[in-house]
Amino acid sequence: MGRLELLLTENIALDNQLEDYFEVKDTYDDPLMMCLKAEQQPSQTFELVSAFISKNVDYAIEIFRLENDVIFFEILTDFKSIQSFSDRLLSELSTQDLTVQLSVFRHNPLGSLWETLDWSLQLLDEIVANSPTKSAVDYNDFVGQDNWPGIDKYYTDDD
Amino acid sequence: MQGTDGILADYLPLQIFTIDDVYEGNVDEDNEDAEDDARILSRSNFEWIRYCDRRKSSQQQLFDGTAQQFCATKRRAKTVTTLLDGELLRLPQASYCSGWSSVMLANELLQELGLSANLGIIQTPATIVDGTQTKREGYTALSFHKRFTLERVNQRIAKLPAEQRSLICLQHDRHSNFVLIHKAALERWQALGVTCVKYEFSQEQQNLTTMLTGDHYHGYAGEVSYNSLVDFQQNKDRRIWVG
Repeated sequence: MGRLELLLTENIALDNQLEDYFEVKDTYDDPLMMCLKAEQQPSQTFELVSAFISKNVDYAIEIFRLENDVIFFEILTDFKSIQSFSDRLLSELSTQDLTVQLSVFRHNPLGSLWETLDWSLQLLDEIVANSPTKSAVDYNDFVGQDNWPGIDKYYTDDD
Repeated sequence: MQGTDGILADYLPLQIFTIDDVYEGNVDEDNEDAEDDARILSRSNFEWIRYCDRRKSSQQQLFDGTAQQFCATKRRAKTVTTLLDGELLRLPQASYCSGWSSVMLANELLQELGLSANLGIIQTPATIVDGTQTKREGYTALSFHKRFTLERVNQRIAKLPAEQRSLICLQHDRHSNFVLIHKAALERWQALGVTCVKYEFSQEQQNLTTMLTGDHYHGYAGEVSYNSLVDFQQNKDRRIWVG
């Protein structure tokens, strides 16, 4: 069972909220699915992230708390803008001495939104493993193919 | 069963009444849309799949004994959740998992059965997430991994003490099985007041030869509908349709 599936089997209410949210997505939407972890002071961090988003993104974004210290949200934009957005977000949080890890995974509309969210969580785990005490961000965006690592490693044998 | 002088003479078919429709409000049977609007629960709200299969196009039908979370093929009953306002949704004590290959039993019914390992019946402890998204404990999914021929019943099962062979799965054809239940176990269920299984069978319905040579077999006794959620919750004024 994938990382996300374990989480949703335990948290039925979250499963339903995400299902309702994904249900209204169009089949041509290719949002960036962002997972952000704040192991220390999660609530304070998430409030600041939320305020930062409402100030910097000109359409409403719903934020889901996947775990006590992990949130998920998505943004529809290009690779350059998301890089600049992430840099500014991390820099804003660092002024408050808050450490976060952020994964950014672009959804391919041919695939399943659940799968992309699961992969974004896996990417987040990798970032945390590589940079447990310092803020860090990593991307998997097939639109910015210059640095695209592919998605092979997210496919397991039992898929 | 009739038409046999072996141990199967002490058995009857295990046939379960499936919950079909529960309506709320006025049902106008001449107006299909209005009827759909009034239907707040249907068969797919009580037909179980593994929770991890809920968004898959095909679901596993036999289970391996590892505790599992289950939900219905139609997972959420939003109107019912509102109407019940926190009251627990009544779940049938016996029902089918999707595909008819496994039976979901409330543990109080399971306790009345003796199931030797030789029967090839795997018991999978089940947590059911019901239509109101409430987790319900106390259920077990039974999957039938051995389908016995009459010859095999005599060779393999006949020597077991009767109380260890409460259920036997017989092979019908390539696609279907019969599950038979020992009469003593069925009587114990009846004494408990269980209403979702069939107790009375006509001569023809319990004739083994007729069953084995008949067309495709479904282990359902009939479909039960209710005119209101209150009736459903109290299990009263059942309307039974036998196909």
